[in-house]
Amino acid sequence: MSDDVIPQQILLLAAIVVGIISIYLTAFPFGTIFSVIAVIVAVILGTNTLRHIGNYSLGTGIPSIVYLLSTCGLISMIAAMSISNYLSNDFLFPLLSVVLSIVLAWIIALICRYVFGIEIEILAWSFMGLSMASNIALMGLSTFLASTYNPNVIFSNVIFNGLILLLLLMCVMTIQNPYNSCMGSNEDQLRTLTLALSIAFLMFIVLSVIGMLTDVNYVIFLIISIIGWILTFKKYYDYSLRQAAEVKYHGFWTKGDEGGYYDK
Amino acid sequence: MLTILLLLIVAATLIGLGVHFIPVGGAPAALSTTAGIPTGAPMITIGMGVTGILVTSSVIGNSMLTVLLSGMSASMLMMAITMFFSNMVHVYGVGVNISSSTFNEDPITSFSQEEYVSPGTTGHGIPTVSFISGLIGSLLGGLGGSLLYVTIYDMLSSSPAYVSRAGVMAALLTLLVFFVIAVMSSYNIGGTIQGFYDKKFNSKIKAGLVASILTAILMAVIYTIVLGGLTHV
Repeated sequence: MSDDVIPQQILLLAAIVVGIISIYLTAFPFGTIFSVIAVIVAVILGTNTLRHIGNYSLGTGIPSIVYLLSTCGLISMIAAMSISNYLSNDFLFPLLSVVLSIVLAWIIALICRYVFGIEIEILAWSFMGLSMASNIALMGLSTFLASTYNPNVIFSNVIFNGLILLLLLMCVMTIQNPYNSCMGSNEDQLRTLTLALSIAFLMFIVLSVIGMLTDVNYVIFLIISIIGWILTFKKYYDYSLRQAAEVKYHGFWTKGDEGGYYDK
Repeated sequence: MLTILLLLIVAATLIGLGVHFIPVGGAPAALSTTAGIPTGAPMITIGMGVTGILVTSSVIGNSMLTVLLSGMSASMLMMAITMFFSNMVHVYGVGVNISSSTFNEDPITSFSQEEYVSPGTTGHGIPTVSFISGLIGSLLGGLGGSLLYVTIYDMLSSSPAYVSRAGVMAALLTLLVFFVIAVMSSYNIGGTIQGFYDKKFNSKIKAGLVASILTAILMAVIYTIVLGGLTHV
């Protein structure tokens, strides 16, 4: 793994501040575009955190970590929605959700540390970062379809019709796929994060089509996400070509001692 | 509320315990270089959970015993089919004997194992004792899953606002427990395990039980808060 171009701390700060503010801004008219911004910052934080924890062997594959922590994010989101319903205070939900996801991931990291004896220094921080990132990403995906952060609307538009499971798997794929496909000694931060952005736009293409079933205005987001996907995937292709070794056509091996399979 | 908390803890602990019984081989088993089910512990547990939830939700409304037995047998059936066809592929497709080097003699069939393990590998396929262990694991997992489903469903359907939506919420919340506990248990197992007759099982089950109970308490507390908030009008 090469050195980071953008430090983890800046991404963390950007994801918390920009992510939470964007979720709050979704309640305003034309606020749905802010859900896209929230998902993008969250996915970048999640992928960058996974780049650090993914170097260590935890006994099972890379996707499992993201499955565990995205589920933590989803559970804390549902718990925060339920609590803010009980207190009938909508404003509490996004902030409480992020706090709960951090606490949940911290307790799970403590169990891994003291019961299983996994001795990794960055375990707790990485778990908290991944859980928070997937939580903000899930909130962004839900508010994209609900157009508001009001828990009652999210419950009826996203959770009771079962769409939330699709969103969970989308979140898992967007966070784990870029690192899983770029990992290796030649792994580079810019290339991995560009792929993460491109997959996030790919997911928004699917979600915009789902949104168009109820509201025709989602066609704007379909166009935005297709353009975004083309731009970011081109960028990823450029980075890949820049970092690839030279490829030359060699041809079949010559006739000789071991040859002879391909020439008759 | 306390009964629900206790039932949730018991159900989630059963799932965590069940995962440890399943013989998991991971990617090496897919290449026939070790014994066990050729996939990771999280994936097979989630598959088992989904099958259990599917059948539980289709028989919900009958007596408690029927629902629990249905969920249990669905998970066991899914696990048995997976292991049986994995063995069929190994024997008739790859052409290897079913054997494992983690024990010298199968306690049920009393077949000697060592001569049949290919050099350079630690076994292939799922031997009889591991097959039985997998069935026990899916029994515990299916029982835990259906108990969780029934508890959440009964709690939610007692509130008039959630009668038609109780099934969706119960299926969702049950599936999330499978996601968390399966991955936590696979961190404990750390690679491959061949069921309860494996030497590795005794060294891992204590930490697994403690972690399952702790995770179950964590999940149960949060779920009680969720259910309390949802049913409060």
